[in-house]
Amino acid sequence: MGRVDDFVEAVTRRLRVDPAVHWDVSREIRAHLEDAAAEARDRGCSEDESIEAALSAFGDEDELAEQFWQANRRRMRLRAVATWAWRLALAPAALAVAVALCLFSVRTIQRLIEYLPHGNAIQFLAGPDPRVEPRPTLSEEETFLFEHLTEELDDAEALVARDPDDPVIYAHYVRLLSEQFLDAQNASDAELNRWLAVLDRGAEIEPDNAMYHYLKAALWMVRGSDAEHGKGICFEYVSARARDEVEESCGVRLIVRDADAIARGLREFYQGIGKAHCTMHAGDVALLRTTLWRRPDTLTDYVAQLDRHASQLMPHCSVLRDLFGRLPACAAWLVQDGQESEGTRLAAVMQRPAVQFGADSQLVIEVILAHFGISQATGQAPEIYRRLGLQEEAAEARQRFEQSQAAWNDIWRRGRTWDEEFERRLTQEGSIFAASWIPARVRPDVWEWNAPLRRTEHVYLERLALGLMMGAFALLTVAFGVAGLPYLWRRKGGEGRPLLLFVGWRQTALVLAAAMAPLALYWAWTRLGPADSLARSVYSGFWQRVAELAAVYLLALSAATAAAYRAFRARCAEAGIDIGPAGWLNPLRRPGRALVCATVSLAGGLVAFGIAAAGVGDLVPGLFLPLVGGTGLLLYPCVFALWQMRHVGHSNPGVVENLRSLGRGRLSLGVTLIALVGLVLAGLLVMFHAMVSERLVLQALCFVAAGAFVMVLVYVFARPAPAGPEADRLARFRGTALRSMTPLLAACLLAFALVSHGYLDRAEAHYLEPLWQSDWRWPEAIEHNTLVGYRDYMRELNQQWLAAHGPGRTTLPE
Amino acid sequence: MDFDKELVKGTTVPIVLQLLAERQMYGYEIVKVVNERTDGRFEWREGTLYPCLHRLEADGLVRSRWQEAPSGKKRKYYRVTARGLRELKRHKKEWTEFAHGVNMLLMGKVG
Repeated sequence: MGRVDDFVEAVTRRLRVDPAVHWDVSREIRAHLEDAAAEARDRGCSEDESIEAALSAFGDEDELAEQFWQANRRRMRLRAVATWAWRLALAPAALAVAVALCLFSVRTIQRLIEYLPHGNAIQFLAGPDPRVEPRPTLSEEETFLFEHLTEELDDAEALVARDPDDPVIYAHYVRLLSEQFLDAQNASDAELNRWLAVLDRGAEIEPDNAMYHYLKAALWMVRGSDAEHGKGICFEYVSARARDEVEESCGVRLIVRDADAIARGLREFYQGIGKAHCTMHAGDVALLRTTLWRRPDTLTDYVAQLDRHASQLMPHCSVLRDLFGRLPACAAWLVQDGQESEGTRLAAVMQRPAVQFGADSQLVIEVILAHFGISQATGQAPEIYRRLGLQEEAAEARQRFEQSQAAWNDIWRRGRTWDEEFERRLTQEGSIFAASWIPARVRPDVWEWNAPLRRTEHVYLERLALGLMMGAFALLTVAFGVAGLPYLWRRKGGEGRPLLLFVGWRQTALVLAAAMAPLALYWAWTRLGPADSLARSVYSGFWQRVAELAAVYLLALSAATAAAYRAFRARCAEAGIDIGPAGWLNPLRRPGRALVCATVSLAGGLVAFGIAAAGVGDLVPGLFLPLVGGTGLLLYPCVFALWQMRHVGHSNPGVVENLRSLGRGRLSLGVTLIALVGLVLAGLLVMFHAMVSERLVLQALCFVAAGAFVMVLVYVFARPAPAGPEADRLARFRGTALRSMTPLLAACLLAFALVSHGYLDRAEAHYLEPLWQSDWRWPEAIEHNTLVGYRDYMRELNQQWLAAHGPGRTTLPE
Repeated sequence: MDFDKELVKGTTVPIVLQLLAERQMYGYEIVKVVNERTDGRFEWREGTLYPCLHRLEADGLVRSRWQEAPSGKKRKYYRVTARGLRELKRHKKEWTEFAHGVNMLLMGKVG
């Protein structure tokens, strides 16, 4: 048929620019000429005559060449543009999607490894760099406030300059400024005077707030003395947390360098004790901030705001703590110095700042600090009285100390009965948030308050589970893309005649629909199912959700693969290529083989786990399920495809040949890359084994290396290579299929990710909703309420004092 | 009887659409059917049919797919689309009016 080939070539030569169209048209003309020649032969013509008759009936070759070119010119131009766009945008975009999702998974795993074992709930839930966003509708003034209500002194100064008489804003500024007060000994006189002026101005703004006097007292005391911690008066007390054990605490010893400064400090102190209030408005500032922040829809946002609350600097607490330590030491020094009346006077009132501060406390740290102050003052007072020979006063002081200790310990003792139930619920339902929150351990109602957060936390963990699944899917997509690269490379220098044309948009839509159907069903099940089906345990529910997602993933993958194969098969059938029995790549039609392949894949995961365990010793038990399951999941599609290929003209060339091909690195770029990754990781592990102190990181590295090793083993022992006369066609089919699968899988992946994330976003906002209907929006309030009993005790003490001595008295009556 | 080349060329599209509207056919089959029905009067240059089919396909009037013919060989079958049917209807109407006009002029009669 050389004459026919020449004729066809002459007619179609101008179509060569598009190999697919050229192939299609050539085949059609050849089929026509074959039919015409066969008919001529049937009429009794010879072979040559029949061919000549067919060719002459077909027409003049030059004229036809022009007509074919004109008829197909537009189509070829469109295809050229589509191919160009495909290569330029779609394939890289698909790989980019897959790689981005891989990175998302890597971050997920990193967060699981870094934060979960250490119990850093804030960092685990909010990420390493939590950000707080403002409300969208802030006025100009509020925007200024949002931008300047930071923990920077410059910003605080700007706020005061704008609103100089606001007590809360001024207290915020002084709070930040007081960070420098503990260094008062090294401060210049000018600086000290400036600080004192700032505090005087504070006392003017709030005449009934003792805080400014106490800060001045602290400034003078720090300036005039050195404190030796743990070397002062010691006293015994009953511990609240350590099951009523008796412990000892030792106070500060004062080495006075400037008695005049101490006297000035005491004068300021006595100015403060008669005032009704003592506050730095730290809680008010926190509350002011929350009015400027956007209402959080996600746990990450909420926890980021918590983190901002928690990072609110408490320098005034440090200064007050120092003052609370120095006051009893100062009384002891006065007694020792022979100023007995001054010592007696101070010993009687030295717990007063702590009581005032505790009565007005807004934050939990302030309550705890007030308790410290009262304990130090009342705990050391009996010894000071004893040194003065006042036994009766000493006994009374000891009684006061025991009363305050009892009020404190009572709060913690009540929590103990709840402790066991708390542990049980924590194990049953699970919550990192509740586990890391002390008040939840102390009060049962805090557990109830915690419910929205626990549910949201479960959704957050589902997102992490989704991240892991996405990673598995994305890795597979990347593997397809990489495995298709050599075919693309070889086609470049080959004949340039593809055996398969693009499957078409309708077929692509069918594949996408097939992949999305299980996902849509799963979405409907989780959305329409009982509300609590989402709120499951961290410890059991998390992995349960991973298993569910894995099942959905396998189903979606199977459906997508089956639909894609159907599309390719239809195209191959049109092109006259036999690619084996129908549905060979469809696990749904081969459940037996699918089961065997799943078992083999899990066994692969077990082998990898075994190798990793042998490499770094005992693996963390909690990692067994995710690691083995994850590897099995990744191996399954590969194992299934490898096995099925044996039924479509593939055979295993043998271990030796496979090793050779692996060495050449040409036949399977994907496996070669996996082998290289495994080797590099193994090498790194050997080199840095002693240096990597983080056991989990070491184990993860070892496991990935072992997984790569297992995949290479599977390749070496089970690689199917196209065989027989159709080998070249099969290889090309495989290449085309691999190339086409990459964007398809990436599209499925993207759709899966978008649907799931959309759903999880709504779920998080839905579960956070009840939190905003409660008065206790912020755990700070909850914590404070936990210790509210002690705050009330201090309020009572404050009221008693004010009733006895009258509010507004600036000095202690003699 | 040999028809004028231009006259044949002008009628190729409606003829092809009409045949494909009856059933799906591959190129050689279309030629055969035309020759059978016209007793070979048209004597198409067979090759010219294919550029015509490709143009129709590019215009969305016909659609093609490779499938097995009764002979067992793979053939590229064409079938008309809904748009093709509308186009055929338009062609038929145009032809009727054209023939009517030509008859009136040449024969001096209607029909």
